Amino acid sequence: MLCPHALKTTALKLFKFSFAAMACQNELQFYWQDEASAHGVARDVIAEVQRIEAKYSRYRDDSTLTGINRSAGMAASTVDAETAALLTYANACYSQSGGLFDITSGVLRRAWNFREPRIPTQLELDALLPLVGWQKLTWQNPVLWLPAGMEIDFGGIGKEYAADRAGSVALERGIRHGFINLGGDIRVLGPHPDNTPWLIGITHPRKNNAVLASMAIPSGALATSGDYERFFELDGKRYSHILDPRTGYPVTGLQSVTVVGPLCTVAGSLCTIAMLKGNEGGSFLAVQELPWLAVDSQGRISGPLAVKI
Amino acid sequence: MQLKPIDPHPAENTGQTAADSSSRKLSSADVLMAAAMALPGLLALPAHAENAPEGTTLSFKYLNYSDSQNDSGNIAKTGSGSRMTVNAPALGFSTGIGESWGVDISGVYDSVSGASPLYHSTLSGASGKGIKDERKAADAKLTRYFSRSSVGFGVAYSTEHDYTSRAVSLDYRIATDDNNTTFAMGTGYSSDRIQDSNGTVILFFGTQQKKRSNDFMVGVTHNLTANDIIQSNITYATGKGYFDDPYKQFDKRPDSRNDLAWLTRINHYYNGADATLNFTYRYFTNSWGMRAQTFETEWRQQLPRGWMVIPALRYYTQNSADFYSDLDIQNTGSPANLNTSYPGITSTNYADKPFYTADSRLSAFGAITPGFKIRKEFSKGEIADLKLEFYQQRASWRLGGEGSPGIEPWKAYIIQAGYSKTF
Repeated sequence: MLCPHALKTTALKLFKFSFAAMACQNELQFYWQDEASAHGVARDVIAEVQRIEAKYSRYRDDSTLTGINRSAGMAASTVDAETAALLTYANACYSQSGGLFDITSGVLRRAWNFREPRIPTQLELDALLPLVGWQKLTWQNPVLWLPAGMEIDFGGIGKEYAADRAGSVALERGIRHGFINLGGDIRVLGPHPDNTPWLIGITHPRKNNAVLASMAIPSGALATSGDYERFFELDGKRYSHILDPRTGYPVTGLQSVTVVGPLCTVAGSLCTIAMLKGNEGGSFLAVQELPWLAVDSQGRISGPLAVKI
Repeated sequence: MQLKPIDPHPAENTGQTAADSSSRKLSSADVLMAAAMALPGLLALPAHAENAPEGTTLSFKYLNYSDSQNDSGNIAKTGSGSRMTVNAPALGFSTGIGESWGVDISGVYDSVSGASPLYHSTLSGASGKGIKDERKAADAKLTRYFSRSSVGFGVAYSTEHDYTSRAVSLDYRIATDDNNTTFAMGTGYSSDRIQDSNGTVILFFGTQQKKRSNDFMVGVTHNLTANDIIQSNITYATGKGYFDDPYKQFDKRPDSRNDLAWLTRINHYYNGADATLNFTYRYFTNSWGMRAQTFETEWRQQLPRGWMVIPALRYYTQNSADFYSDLDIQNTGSPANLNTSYPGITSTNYADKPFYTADSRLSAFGAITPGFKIRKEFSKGEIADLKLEFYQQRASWRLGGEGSPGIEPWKAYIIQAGYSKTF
C-alpha cells in the first residue's frame, strides 16, 4: 500500500535564481525538492520571460513589435492571438485611464532622453504629439493599422504580463511556494511551505536603498510604479519617464504607487494609470477595491496599505 | 473549468464595504481584470490539467436508483409499480507521488434487488422470479505527468454472478504551448465473460460465452476565449462475441457491433453571474442500425460561502435496432403465449430469422431527465454534494416520429450523495 504522507514530507528547499531580462535585474525564488530538477524548472520559467521579451522588445529588429511598427503607414498588420489580446488589453487601459495610458506615447522618447538632463523644446514636442494617440490607429482584431510615423510599445504592460505568464509556467511545472520578481513587478506563486506569506519590500521613492514599507503577500501579485525609475533633475525639478500623452511632459503629483491584485498585469496597469493621473491618482485607486499605497509629491503616504507601515 | 481570478487577497484593508461596491458601476480594476482574462495563458490555475494531483483525496459516493413502470394490464411485463432498486456505495482514492506521478483507485459495490419486467427489461439479469444481484467493480489508473503532457495506464475489473469483465486502457494528453488547446487520445481493450449462474434463471446458451471490445478515442479541448471552452471527442468501439441477452429466449443478436459516438460540449462562463452554462450534444450510431442523440444543458451557479447549485436537463432519443421486433400489444405477455407476443417472431419462424430481439433498450424511444445538484465546499479540499435526477422514458418522445409501440412509460429516480476530502 502506498503511503502518501511519507511521500509528502519530502523536505523542500528554497532555490533562488537571478537573471537579467527586459532591461532589469530579475529574481525567481521557489521551494523544490531536488536541485537537479529545480534548475530545469527555473529554466522553463525564465524562458517564458525571454520569449515575451524577444517578441515585444522594441530594441530588437526581429521582434513582432518591431515588425508591426515598421509597417506603420504602409500596411495593416494581422497579429497573432497573443498580440491581439495585448492590444485589446491596451485598449481597455486607454479607456479606463481617460486616454492617459496610451501605448502610442513611446515616440515621445525621441524628445526625452533620460540619460542627459535636457528639456525638449516645444517645437520638438509639437512635432511628435501628432504621432501620439490610440484613437488615431485602427484596431479591428486581429488587424492593426498604424498611421505613418506612429509606434506602439508594451511598456507598462509587457513586463507585468511576462511576470504573470512566467508565473503560469511556474504553477504548471508544479511550483506552489515562491515568487517571480521582474524589476519590481512581482507575481507570487504561493506562500512559504509553512503558509507564511512572502515579505515584499517596497522601495522608498526618494531614499536610496531604503524600504518604504514591507508587505506580506501570500499569493497574487504586487506592482509598483514610480518617478524614480528613470528621471533627471534640472533646476531642482524632477522629470520622470512617465509622460502625459496630451502634453508630452512628465507627469507630476505622485512619487510612487503600489497596487496588490490578483494579476500583476492588472496591478501594474493600475499603478501606471494612477501615476498618470497625478494628484487624482489617489481618488482613482480608492474606488478599485484593491489594496494600494501611494506616495504624493510631498512624500505623504496614503491608501489602505499605508496602515500596515 | 472556472475562470475566476486567483484569490487576490484584497479583503483585509481595502477600506471598502460591500454596500459601496454593489451600488457602483464596474471599477477600472474590474474592466482591466476582464480584459486581462483574455490574455492567453495568464490564469494557469494550480488545478491545471497536466499536473499530478496535489495531496491525497478520498471520496465516497452513494447512489440509489429505483425505477417503476405504469401497470396498464395488457402489456408484456410483470410485477407492479416499483420494480428495481440499485444501491451502490463507491469509494475513491487519488494521490500524487512526487511531482510527476498520480494514482487513482476506485471501487464500487452495487446491489440490485427487485422485480424486473420479464420481456422488456432495462437491466440485464432480469427474471420473473425477482432478482437479487451484486456487482463488485474496481479500477486503478497510473498517470505520468510531463510538462505539457500526460500518459495514463488503467486497469479495471468487475464481476457479477454471471458476468465478469476485465479491461485495460491507455491514454495520452498533450497541451499546446499556450495551453489553449489540449489534445487527447486513448485506447482501451476489454474482455468479458458471461457464465451460467446458479440455476435460478435459465440461460439460453448453456455454456460460457465471451465478448471482446476495443475502443479508440480522439478529442480536443480548446479555449475559445477566457470564458468559452469547446470540447469535442470521437470514440469508435468495435466488439466481437456474445451480445445476446442470455435470459431471453427470443434474443439473437449479431456477434459483432461497431459503435461511433461524437460528443461536443460548449462551456460559457458568465462573469457577472459567476456561473457556467454548458451544453452537450452527443451523436451515436452503430452497426446495428441504431442512431441516438443526446442534448444536455447544465447551469453551474456559484453562490457565496462555497455553495453551488446545478440544475440540468437532458433529452435522449434513439431509433430501434434493425432487428428489434415490436411488441404485439393485442396479446398479453404471459409466458404461456410468449410465442405470439412478438408478431415478427414466433416459435415457428424465429429460427429462420438471423437476428431478433425484444429488448426495450434496443427499441425506439425518447427520454427526458431533469436533474438538480447542490454542492458545498466547506473548506479547501472538503466537498459534499447531493444530486437528484428524475428519468422518464416514453416511446412517443422519440425525436421525429413515434417510438416502438407497446412499451409503457418508464420512470426512474436517481439519488446520489458524495463527499470528498483532500489531505
